[in-house]
Amino acid sequence: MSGLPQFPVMAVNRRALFGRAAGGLATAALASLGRAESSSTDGTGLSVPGPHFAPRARRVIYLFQSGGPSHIDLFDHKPQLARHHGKELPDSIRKGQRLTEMTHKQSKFPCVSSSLTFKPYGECGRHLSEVLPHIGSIADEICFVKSMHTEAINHDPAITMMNTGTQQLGKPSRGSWLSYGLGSESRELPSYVVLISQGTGRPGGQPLFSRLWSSGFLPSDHQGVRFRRGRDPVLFLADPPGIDRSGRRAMLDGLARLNRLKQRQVGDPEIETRITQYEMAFRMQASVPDLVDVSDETESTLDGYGSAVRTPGTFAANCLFGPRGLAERGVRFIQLFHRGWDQHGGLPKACAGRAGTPISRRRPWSRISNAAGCLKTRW
Amino acid sequence: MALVLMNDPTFVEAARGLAVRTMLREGRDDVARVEWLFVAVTARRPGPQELETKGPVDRRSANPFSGRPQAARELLSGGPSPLDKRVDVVEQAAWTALASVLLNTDEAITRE
Repeated sequence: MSGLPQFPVMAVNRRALFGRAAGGLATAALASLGRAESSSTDGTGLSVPGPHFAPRARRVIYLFQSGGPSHIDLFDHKPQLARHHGKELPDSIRKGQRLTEMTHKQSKFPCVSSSLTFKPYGECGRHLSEVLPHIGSIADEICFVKSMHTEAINHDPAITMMNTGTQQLGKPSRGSWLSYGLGSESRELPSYVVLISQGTGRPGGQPLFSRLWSSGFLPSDHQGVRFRRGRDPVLFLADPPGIDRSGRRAMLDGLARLNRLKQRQVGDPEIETRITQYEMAFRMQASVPDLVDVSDETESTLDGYGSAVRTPGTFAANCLFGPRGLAERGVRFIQLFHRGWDQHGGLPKACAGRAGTPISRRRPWSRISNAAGCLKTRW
Repeated sequence: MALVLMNDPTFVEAARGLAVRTMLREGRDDVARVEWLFVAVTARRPGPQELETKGPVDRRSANPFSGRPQAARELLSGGPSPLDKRVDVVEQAAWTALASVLLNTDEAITRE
């Protein structure tokens, strides 16, 4: 032992304890669990049980407007509200709903109707706000779900619930469930990608948290991978100088062998996840650099998104990048978080401003629905 | 995170530092050096299979940097600390790659 680094006496760590104390049977059970999980991978490395039916939609592109767009100024026509404008909120409507920290000291809770005009669009006659003419132009092609319900009364619990199903933290996000259930169509990109943009509506308001795209208790290779804003969606793609692709491949082979030996000893399925992540990183080194290049899109296409599309990291740019760079390459779930909707005042102007972004334009929707492979393609 | 640990110049420099420390120990016995490096990273001795699975970056097989001193020097140029001239550049690059692999193992990264 001479010459070896001297360390203070190490307490037995958790892995070693399970390995030694559990005895042969338990260790074998753990080891076979690790092997069973990896045998069900679909080649991309993700553990995939597989669907039990033939789905009709292939991918999801989720445009999440964080902060909360005012529905009564955009999508929900409430003509009755005009009659109650300025009057106290009736108990028959409020039904004892609890108040937020911000509002509970108010002495009055008046009703306020929208100052924007609503008009019918399309053959369906759906009433939409005057600031959404482009969405109005495709009103017959999209589905409005009017049955949403929540018990959340503030931002963080509400977006936690929208993304994970409960107001309490810790559950997997939607994208993770989809990735877990359906696997990935792409070997080169993660199955769940998150893009975040900051709007002008209320800079700095209402943060987002990485738990909104976390895998919770599912294997962590299903977590959302956040791509950065701007020209470099992923950092440190380039290998250090002196290491070429084959050299990196050789190092990763050695790394995978060492990790697999460890996994056989301790049976931790997260080791398999780590191996998968390193392999995905290796493939992303090749696949990511040309993702943000939109130079082959026509001018008219780009104009359809608004002028902001040429600036990397804006919502407009993400709306193009999501379907084009990601969904068309097989990413299963793409979530665009757009911050800046938390309007507490100045609603008409703010809504018009927000509505100028691609959420209200026609072309992005078509691209998005085609990229999501909605309902027209066979599985 | 994989990309950070493998490609961030800070980590490459750390691997280089570890490589130099490894090379300055144990005379010229490569097996002992590999053992020392393994203990330094994981606080346990390597098993026989682990000693063998160093693969192409194993010091005992062909050094991937032999005949490529320029590539070796490039790898060793990352980070602000100066190149350590006490040890051979080509060997140092191979040990740096090996140290980088060990620093990226799940065992090295995971805190239990």
